[in-house]
Parts: sequence; C-alpha cells; structure tokens
Amino acid sequence: MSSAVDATGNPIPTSAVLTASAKHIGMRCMPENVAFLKCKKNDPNPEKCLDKGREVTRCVLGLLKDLHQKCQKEMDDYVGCMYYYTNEFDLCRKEQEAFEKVCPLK
Amino acid sequence: MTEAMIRKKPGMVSVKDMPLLQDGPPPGGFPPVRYARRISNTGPSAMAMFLAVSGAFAWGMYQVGQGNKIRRALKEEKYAARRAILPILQAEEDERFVSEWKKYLEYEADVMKDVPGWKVGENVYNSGRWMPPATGELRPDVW
Repeated sequence: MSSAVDATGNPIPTSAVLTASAKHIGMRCMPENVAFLKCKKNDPNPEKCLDKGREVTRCVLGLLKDLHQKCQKEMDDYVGCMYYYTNEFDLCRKEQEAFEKVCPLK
Repeated sequence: MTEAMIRKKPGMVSVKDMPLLQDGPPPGGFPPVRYARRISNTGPSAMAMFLAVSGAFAWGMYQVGQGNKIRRALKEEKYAARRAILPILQAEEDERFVSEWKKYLEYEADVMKDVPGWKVGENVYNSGRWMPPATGELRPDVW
C-alpha cells in the first residue's frame, strides 16, 4: 500500500483512514452527519440530499486534512496498522493511544 | 525307576501303603489373610463438595459475564466507528449514482426518442417513493 495521502497531501478516504479517524469524525462532524441521515430518512432519493451530502464530505475531508497536518506520523502509523489488520481496533491499541495522545478527541 | 522303588518303606506290601508325598501347609498353618474392606470415611462431606462445585460454577459464570461485557464494548466500538463513517460513504455513493443516473437517462432518451408517448426517465413505480433501480446490475464496473 502506498501512503495514505494523495499528490496534494490530502488524506485519501480509504477504509483504513476512515476507521482510524472514525472517533474524531463521530465527534466533530456529528451535526452534518445527523442532518444528512435525517434527510435520507425523509426521502431516500439521492438527488434530494446532495447538498447535505456535500456538507458531510466537506466536513470529513477537512477534518482528515486537519488531523493529518497536526499529527502526521502518528496518524500514518495508525492508518498503516489499521490497513495491516483490516480495521480491527483491538489489534492496534498502541498506535491508537499514540494517535489520541497527539490529536486528542476533545 | 518306579516311584515305589524310590520311596518304599521297609516292610511294605503294596503301593497303597507308600508314605505320602504331599504339598501342604507349613507347620502351624498359614498366617491369616485379610479380605475385609477398608474404605476410609475421611475426606470432604457432601455439602462441602456441593458448595465447592457450585462455587466454581458461579465464579466461572461470573467470568463469562465479564468477558461478554468486554466483548460487547469492543463490538460497540466497531459499530460506533461504522455509524460515524456511514454518512460520508453514502454521500460519495450518492454523487456517483446521480451522475451515472443522468448518463443513463440521456441514453434512454436517445434510445426511445422515436417512440411516441414515452416519458423518459422516472418510468418506475406509482407509490411516489424513490426506489433504487432494479435492473439487476448495481455497478457494472465492479461486478
């Protein structure tokens, strides 16, 4: 696996990157997520919820970029561990603790 | 030679009067053999055994409960992570679907342009709800 960032330095939202930052996403992008899910529950048509979906994407990608800038090495280690163990939290506790020490959950 | 020639008694008339040669007990007889059961009555009582076994069982079940708690916490962590990343994945899929759907509607309009009375696109169910297309092929580039 090549690195978790694309050419411009933004983290690519692969499954390993997303599960590694899932706790941060759940905490910091919660309003956007909840709004999107409510819209979906109302009407499952994708065309009706495109704007809220764009809000979610903007929030999550911005958050990933922010995390990657603040704690690059720990995030790369954690993402690498997640990739190696296929998103199994219990096998990456060490990297998770190091990551959350540098980029706290707040 | 014969037994009578070896073991004869002087003045013996017939073989039947030969001195006896027998395997027998030693003088005074054999010492007595113990054949009575000796199963001791010591050891834990019934109540003690029952309490020990049920204590072990109760402790084991308690450990099972603790382990289940830990496993449930791990599963909850996994599900919470999945719940957190569900919206972005769905949003990305929605964008991809909308662009694919538009291309499909254009293709349908192109194919059916000579058919009178054909309303292109949205030629689906009457319930009013949106249903995903049931063409049997979700993502031809993947499958």
